[in-house]
Parts: sequence; structure tokens; C-alpha cells
Amino acid sequence: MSEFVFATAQYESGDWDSAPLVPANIIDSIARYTEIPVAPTGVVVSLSSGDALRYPLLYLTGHLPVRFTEQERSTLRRYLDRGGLLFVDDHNHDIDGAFHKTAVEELTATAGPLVRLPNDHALYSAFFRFPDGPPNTSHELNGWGDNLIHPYLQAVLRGNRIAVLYSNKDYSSEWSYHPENKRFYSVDNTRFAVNLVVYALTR
Amino acid sequence: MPSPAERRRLEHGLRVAALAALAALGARALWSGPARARESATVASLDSALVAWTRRAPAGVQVRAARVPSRAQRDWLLALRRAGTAVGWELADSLAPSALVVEPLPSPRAPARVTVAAASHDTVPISDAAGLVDAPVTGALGVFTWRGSVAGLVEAAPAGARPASARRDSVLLRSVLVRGVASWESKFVVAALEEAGWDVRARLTVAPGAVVVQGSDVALDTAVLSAVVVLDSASVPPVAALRRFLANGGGVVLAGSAVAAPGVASLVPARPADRRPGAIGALDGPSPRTGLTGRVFTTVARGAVPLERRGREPIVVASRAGSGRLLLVGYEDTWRWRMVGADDAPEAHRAWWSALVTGVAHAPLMSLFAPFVDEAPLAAAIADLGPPAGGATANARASFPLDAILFAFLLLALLGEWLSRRLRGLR
Repeated sequence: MSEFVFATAQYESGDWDSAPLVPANIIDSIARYTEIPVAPTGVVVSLSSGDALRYPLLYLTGHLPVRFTEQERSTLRRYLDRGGLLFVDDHNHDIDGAFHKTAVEELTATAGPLVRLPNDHALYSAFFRFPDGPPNTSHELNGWGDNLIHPYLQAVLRGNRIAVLYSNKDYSSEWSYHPENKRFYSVDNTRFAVNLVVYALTR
Repeated sequence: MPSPAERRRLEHGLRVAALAALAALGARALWSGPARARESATVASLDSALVAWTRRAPAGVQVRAARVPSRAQRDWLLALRRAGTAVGWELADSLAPSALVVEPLPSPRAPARVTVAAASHDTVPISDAAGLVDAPVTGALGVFTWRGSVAGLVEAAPAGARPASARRDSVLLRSVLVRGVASWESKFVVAALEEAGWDVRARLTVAPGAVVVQGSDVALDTAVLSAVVVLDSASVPPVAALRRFLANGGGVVLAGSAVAAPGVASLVPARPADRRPGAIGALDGPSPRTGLTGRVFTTVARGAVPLERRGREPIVVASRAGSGRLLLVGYEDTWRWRMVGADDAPEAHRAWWSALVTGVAHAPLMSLFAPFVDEAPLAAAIADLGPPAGGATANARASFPLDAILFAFLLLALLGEWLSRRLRGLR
């Protein structure tokens, strides 16, 4: 059985590598809490490459406008049609921001409309329980960005399965720190990332 | 040479015999009622002709057919024959025999298998109660098999016949349980089976004490499950439970590392060997499963059947166990085929996994109401009416041609008497 490899999507526009510490932190959490065989390092995979199909969970983030190339759109459609899950996080946590507006436009055109994901969705109980839906981030609570606490995530659904998960909550900032520093947190704030990976591997 | 007196006695005798034959023919004509005619019809006008023949009861009927009479028409012709009418039939052209069989399959999206036999390379439209289903071309052997869902009576239309059949049984499908760890393989096997229409329950281990359960957690019981799919060695249920499930008719698929789990060594009919890497670049080629890493089997037990091989070594092996079936699948990470393969890979991956489960699933049969079927019209027509020929053969053999014999005897007697008189010099 192959091990889980955390993959970050590289796209031609924008700053796809704006949260370089997130993969290591999530990999650490997967190894810490589960028995899922996980590769010790993540990979970066071009969204315009067929290699993206080798990683059924892709993480995509950035601050800048997102404009997919035709090849990237084609690969993403193929990826989602075959059962891949794309997790997109707005690193600006700003609903008026360039990333949000352009990413939603691109995702809607490529994958379909984003709908509100109910806060009792299986994603929130896949491993840890989040009865109130997606956990808030310190950046939301501090009033940065759009000064809003986003009470839900959005998704493109295929049947009852999440194909694209979209977040304005800026988990990319929340999880971008060295895994050793988890010891300073009373509650590990990457627990929701474990849910995301377990959901992707089981649904 | 006979004397003239002897000749006169012979002539007298011949005259008496001729008169007797004439009297017998007259008596038969008087006492056998009005003469019955022989009639004919084509298959196109046969329905109305059958009504008329039933009223008139002709001596013989002849059906000139461009196609095989339907089962109702044949039954009616048989009834006429049993009522004393000689029945014959002939075909305008020689027809290839055709047949159609509908069988139930334990598969949610394709619960019926339709097998058509007709002439080689013939286009045979297949229809059911809802309309045209398909128009396949038979192969060199004249056989085509179609899997899918059909409603009511299924008919095929090869040249000259219209075989029809229907499902006589329905299968009772229950859930499929997938056991494994949280992995891409588990996710995509569950997805493939769900997309193929199976009701899937899953039990996927994430961590000690943390199990993702889809549906409710159930015991291995054929009252609830048709099959169980085990995807890794850590998820193999107790072998006693597997044996009991198999003994009761359940289906078990052991895949990936599950085939080499120590607990199932006494159960499996083949010994797993080392893992073999897949061929690089083969996943999107014509034989995508050769691109998968897999574990081949050695020393396959008698009675077990290798279904797929890698090179010369079996990689998928099936066997009976108790009343059930056990399937060993040596392939690992088949999800790569679905994700990385050619354009048809998701559909092919789905169909392959569904076929594996169909092959072992416990599926008790339930009888259905069987409509009026006619599975092999030409064969049935020959069995009912005899081989097609140019005359009303069946009853013709049965009735003795007494009138013709009497008439021939009469002619011979008169001719003999006339010859005798001429030889004596008389007129």
C-alpha cells in the first residue's frame, strides 16, 4: 500500500508557495495522531502536469490573483472527475481580496459552483470532532483581513463527495509554523488538517 | 397358352374386380362426406388463415414462410394437426437458427445477461418492453452477450425469426463490506463500487481505536452482506468468521496485502509470492493492470482457477469455499489505474471492481413471473411441426392412400381384361 504524500499545487499565476511550512506541519500531525503511512516530506506538483493525478489530495493557496492556464483547467477537470480533492485556502482571508475573487471565478468555471458546506458535514467528524463546523483561526479572531469570522467553508460537491473545498479562513497562515512549536499550543490548531486528510482518504 | 375358356374366366374375374373397385370408390365417396381441400397461406396472412382453417377443417394446410411462425401460430397449427388436418410448412430461404437467453446477474447496474445466437456477423436489434436496447453485431461464432438492465419481455430480431425471452429469476443483492485502512486504495475501491451501484459499507481504520465506518458496522452474515472486500493484511477479519461466511454462500475478495496475511494462509487456495513492480508507463496503455504493482501466486491448489496472469504466473485466482466463493487479487494500489490511466480508466476501474464482486457475491434467486417466451423459434418449429418441406408431410404419412390404390387397381383390371380380349381377336 502506498503512503500518503502531501502535495502542494503549483500554478503559473500568483504565489502558490506562500505557505511553505504548512506541508511539514500537516505531515507531522498525520504521523502524530494516526496510523496512516505518510511520506516524511511533501511534494510540489504542477497543476498543468499529469503528475497532479498521482496525488488525490492537492493543497492550493496564495495571495495574488489566480488565473489558470487552459492546460491547468484541463488537468483540474480531469483530476476532479476521477475523484481527486482540491483544498483551496485564501491566504489573504479577505473576501474582497484578489485571490478570493479570482479563485472563486476560476473554480466556478472549471469545477462548478461553490456551495455552503453544512457545519455538520462528515468532514467535521472524520477524525476529531468539530461540532461548530470549521475551527476559527487566530487571524480571524484578531480582525485581520476582512475583519470577519467565516462561519462555514464552501465546496464543490460531486454526488455527496467534496471535490473542491474552499476556505476563506486563512489556514495557510494558521498552520505555517515549524512542527516543533506545537508544544506551545494548548490545543493543536492543525487538528482540522488531520480531518481533511482522513476525509480525503476515506470518502 | 391359356385356352379360350380360361381366358373368358380371367376376363370375367377382372371385370368383377374392376366393378368391385368401382363400387368401393363410390361407397367411399358417398360415406366419407364432402371432399376436404388442401389450402395454403403465408406467415403474413397466417393469423386470419388459422381462423378460417379452424372453421373449415381442410384436409391439409401448407404454410409458406419467409420467417419462422410465432409460438402462438405454431401452437395453433399443432392443434389443427391434432384435429386431423395435415400440416406442412416450408421456408422461402434457408435460415440460420437463432436463440436468445436472459439470465439474472448479481450486479446492481447490470442485473441481466442477454445472450443472442444468430448467423455470424449479423446485426441483431435487441428490444425490451421499454424499446430498443442495443443492436449488436454477432461475432464469428454468431454469439453476442450483452449485460444491462431489461424490462419485461426481451426480443431479438435476427433474419427470419423473432426469439423472445425474459428473466425468470431476480437476484437479491445485499451490501458489500469494504475493510481496510484509510488509504487511497480504500477510498477509490469504495467509490468504484458505489458508482457501480453497490450498497457499500466500509470499515476503514485510521488509528488505534479510530475507525471510519460508512453505513453501520455489521458482522459477516449473508443475511446482511453479499460480499466482503478486504484490502490489507491489518483489516482481515478472524478466519473463523470468514470460513463461516463462505460456508453460508458469502463472497470474499482478498486484495493487496490481505492475500498474504498470516491469518488467511489456511484459507487461501494459492501461495502468494513476492511483490512484482508494474511496467513503467503501462497504466495508460492497452493493458493498464500490467502497470500496477502486484503479488503473483505460486502453487495454486487443485480446483482454484487463475483468472488473470502476469506473464505466466497467476495474479487473480478464484476458488470455491463452502457454498461461497473466494477471490484473491494480487494487485496493489489499483487507484493509480483510475487516476493516471487513459480516458476510460475510471469507467474501466469501476467495471473491473464491480465484476470482481459480481463474481463472488452471494445472491439468492427469487422467481419472477415468466411471460410467454420463445427462446429458439426455428428449433421449436422443427420440434413442433417437423422440418420445413414442400408438402403437408406430417399428416400425409399418417393417412393411408386407399383411394389411389383402389383407382390404380381398377385401371389395371380393366386394362388386363381389354388386353385379354384383344389377344383373343375380339374388340
